[in-house]
Amino acid sequence: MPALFNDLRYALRMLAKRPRTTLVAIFTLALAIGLNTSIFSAVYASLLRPLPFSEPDELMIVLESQPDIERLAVPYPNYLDYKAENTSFETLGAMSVAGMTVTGLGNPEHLLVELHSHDLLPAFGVEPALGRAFLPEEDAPSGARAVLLQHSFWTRRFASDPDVVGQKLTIDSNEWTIVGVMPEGFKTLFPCELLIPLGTRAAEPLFRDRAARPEVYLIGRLKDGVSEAQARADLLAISDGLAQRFPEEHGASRPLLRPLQEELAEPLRGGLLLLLAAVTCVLLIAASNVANLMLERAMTRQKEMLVRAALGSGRWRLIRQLLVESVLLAMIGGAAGLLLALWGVDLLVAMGPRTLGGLSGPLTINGPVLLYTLVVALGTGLLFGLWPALYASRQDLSQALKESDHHASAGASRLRARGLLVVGEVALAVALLIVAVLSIRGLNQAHQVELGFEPQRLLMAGLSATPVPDAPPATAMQFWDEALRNVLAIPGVEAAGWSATAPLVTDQLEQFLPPGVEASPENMRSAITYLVSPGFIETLDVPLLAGRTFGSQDVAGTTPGLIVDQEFADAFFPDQNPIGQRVRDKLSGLPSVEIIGVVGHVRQAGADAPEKIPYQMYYAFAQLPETSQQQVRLIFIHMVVRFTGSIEDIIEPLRSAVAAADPTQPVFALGPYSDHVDRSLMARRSIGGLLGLFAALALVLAVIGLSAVMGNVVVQRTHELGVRIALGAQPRAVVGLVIRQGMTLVGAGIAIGMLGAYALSRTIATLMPGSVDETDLMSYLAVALALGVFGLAATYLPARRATRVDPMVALRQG
Amino acid sequence: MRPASAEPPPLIRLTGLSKVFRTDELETLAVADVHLEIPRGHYVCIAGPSGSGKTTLLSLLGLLDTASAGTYLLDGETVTGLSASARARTRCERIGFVFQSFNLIGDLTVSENVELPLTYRAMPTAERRRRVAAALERVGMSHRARHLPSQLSGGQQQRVAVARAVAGEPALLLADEPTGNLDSKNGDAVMELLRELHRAGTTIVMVTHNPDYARHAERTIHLFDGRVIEEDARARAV
Ligand SMILES: Nc1ncnc2c1ncn2[C@@H]1O[C@H](COP(=O)(O)OP(=O)(O)OP(=O)(O)O)[C@@H](O)[C@H]1O
Ligand SMILES: [Mg+2]
Repeated sequence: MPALFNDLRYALRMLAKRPRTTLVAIFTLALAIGLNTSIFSAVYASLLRPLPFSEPDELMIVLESQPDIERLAVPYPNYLDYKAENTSFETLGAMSVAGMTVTGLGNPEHLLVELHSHDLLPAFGVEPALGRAFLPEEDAPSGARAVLLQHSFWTRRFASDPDVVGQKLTIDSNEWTIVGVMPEGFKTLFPCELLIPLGTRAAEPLFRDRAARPEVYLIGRLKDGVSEAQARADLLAISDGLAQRFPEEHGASRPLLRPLQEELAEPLRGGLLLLLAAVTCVLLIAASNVANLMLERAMTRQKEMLVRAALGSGRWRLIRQLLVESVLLAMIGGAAGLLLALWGVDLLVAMGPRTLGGLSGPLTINGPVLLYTLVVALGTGLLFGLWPALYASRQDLSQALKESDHHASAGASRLRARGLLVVGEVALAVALLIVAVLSIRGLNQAHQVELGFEPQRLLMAGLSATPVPDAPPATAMQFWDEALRNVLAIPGVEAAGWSATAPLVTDQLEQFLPPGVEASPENMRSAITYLVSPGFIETLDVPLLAGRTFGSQDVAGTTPGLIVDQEFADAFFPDQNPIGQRVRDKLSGLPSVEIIGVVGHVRQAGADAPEKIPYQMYYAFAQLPETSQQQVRLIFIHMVVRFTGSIEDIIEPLRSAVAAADPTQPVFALGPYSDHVDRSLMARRSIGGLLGLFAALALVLAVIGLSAVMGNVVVQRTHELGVRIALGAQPRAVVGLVIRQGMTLVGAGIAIGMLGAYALSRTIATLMPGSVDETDLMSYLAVALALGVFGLAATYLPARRATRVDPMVALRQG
Repeated sequence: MRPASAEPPPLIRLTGLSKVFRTDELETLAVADVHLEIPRGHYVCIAGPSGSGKTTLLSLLGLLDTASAGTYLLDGETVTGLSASARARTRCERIGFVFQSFNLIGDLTVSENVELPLTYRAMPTAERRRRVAAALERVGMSHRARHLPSQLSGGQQQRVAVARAVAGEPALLLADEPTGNLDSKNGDAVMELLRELHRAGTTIVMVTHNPDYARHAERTIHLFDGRVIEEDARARAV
């Protein structure tokens, strides 16, 4: 131990002796380690940190799959069966989500409300901070109306009133009793502000239909000792039973069981792993740079090592001394990196995807992140210290004497070692740059992909789906239509319409039977379905390709017609005129519905998202039978408005127009439609931006490393270059010699990097389909060229220095 | 001195050649006002105590350094004031060097080392090969052509260095203490090699401390504090 202490003291002295190299090394390490710590804090929070519930690895989410769709919500009656029949779950709860309007607290406010089965909070292991959870009798259609407030809503609307429990809240015109307040930061699947019992909905047609999927998600806690696979088999057996009893509704569905944590982390996993790979590259490049510095130092200390060896120091002792130095350096770098990371985490939160951190809350530098930093710093220190240490401790006395005495400029091996480092650095930088360029290009292409509608000069406003509680949909429609008529009268409004769902905002799937196929549950296909008012299609500027769109004649009581998109028409009526063809569906209430129009295809999930469901259908909401109107899940009504002039001149008149239809109704989610386009690209744009940033950093570090190595190569080769000049080499030849040496390394690095980039981008293409085109040769060549130019610049200055080598070194012995 | 009339111009003619080194506060007159003529084919030795300017004078003769004052005519042409690249060309075409510390390049084989100065000239590959082989033959190192310098003894390295110096058939061969790092046996062998080259007509200027080797030369120039203080010429041995 005292020996180690001595080593440490000596190491500190050695670091202090060369303050400039030491500072450069510490700064480089701090930057790279800080970057790694920041990204890891996001990886940890989003992918690894246990969910903030008790024994979170027992929590599972249950969805259903159909042949053409992997993830679907579960029909409510199925939930009741899964719940009753399973033997695997301690509790199997369910949750849904709805938009509801709160009045009586000043301005009417439209809020996202989570609907929980009464056993869901106990399943999570969460108790309200104030009051109590739902009682079983409240979780029923006729139960007393009980509501739980989210902590933020309680603070915002009730000023954290401690006596809030027992007070009343008017939601969708009904009185609800506040039974409790959730703990601060409680969040599961949706950013909701209120919680009500799911069972209050159980009597609604939508919740009694085995074919309807009103966004019900099952979340359960496994019994002790029951494995995921056992639970899966259990659910599958129940599902098979359902399929036999309800072949029509359930024949093609299967349950899908996944750990809740994994399911929640899914959307971020690919991007975060990519960023982690990127910062690992940056770290490796930084470590190579520091290894170069240490190697250089080690070489200048060969004599010292020689003396130490001569004095009887064993090889391990020498290695330890050097390792203590490099690890010390890495630890100082790591500590500085940690400070940088404090700021880096803020940057990440500002630049990164909004969902970063998931349920477990904001990113922090916590225990595991600290541990990671420590391991990374230690590993880096050993990584960049070991090689130089092994090198410097290699004592070949005879060779050393021969070299210094005879000046046969040797040391080729040590130059080769450093050359390898440079090749590695350049390769990493090239790979990272190519991947960044591919990602950014992919992103730009996504921007240019036709959305199928025109989001500019378009505005969206949300209206309540249930303006009059417990009234038939026709009553609600009167409000939507009157609001629409008032909006159309506003000067500057060119067109307007409403729909139950809208591209990039919400979606709805309905089934149909492809023509010419035998009617069976497995043969049913899903289509993205819009239930619209006349004018909606025109307002979005979706082109009409054949037939007609909905007009003022398509009112309640007329025969429903169907408008399909081009994909639908091309797929099922390739050689026929689709107009007048009939399709078997579920919503029209008819044996089959007639196609009256074909419109262009719309990118429902945004320009960059892969389209899992290619087909689209439009119905006029007014034409649907009341049972169908009641069966569709309405979160809110999307009113779209195409305008001329400035958006500010529209917003206030629009609010007034809606108020004129019903002054108690809020207008929410009001804003330019292009916001939704931007949001759909947000996650990838921020990942692309960060990737670009890291790649630029990698490039800078690699160029610094290259030019440092080449500078050192010139120093190492001074004697040889002097001899060459003495023998008559022209300055040009000497420059060429050094540049050739540098560019050989750069070239090898570029070649390896390009191969690496191909492998990496192929992986990315499978992780995030459609995000990169791994065969985009132009990007590879552009990056290779850029690296070539940077490499040339980095070797040129040292090469120029080489021509100034004094040939007198050949005569005078150093 | 040999009569100069009707002879071609001497290979080297120095008039008032001086070299001043200026360091921070010190001015060193390393070569001071040297007048010297060396006819073609002569074997000249430069002697003098340490620090007397021998290496400096040799570096001026070899165009490795430029004089502070005076003129230097090489083969009748003035070479003072040539550009760095012109000096480089002159070096590789007309001057060969043998250094005390051999200065073979460790990464290159014996034959590549010998070939090195030839690669700085425009010369067909076949011609280059022929000359390398001939030079190695001359110094008796043909059997080691593929070896690296580190695999050779000091004496062998110096023989390779001599081969490198003469492969280009230079008009002038400069050697700075070529035996300084060798034992007497190896030193003798190298000196014998130089004598053979001289017999074959090469002009040699050599710095040496060893009076025995100095006797090989036809003429010894004694330097002291950068000045020529004494010359003794002997009759040519052959
Ligand atoms: N680059 C230089 N800068 C300053 N002074 C120098 C330089 N090179 C040589 N000198 C000085 O010039 C003088 C002559 O040096 P030179 O190397 O020519 O001596 P030398 O006769 O070859 O000695 P030795 O027998 O020890 O090799 C010395 O005083 C030396 O200190
Ligand atoms: Mg000398």
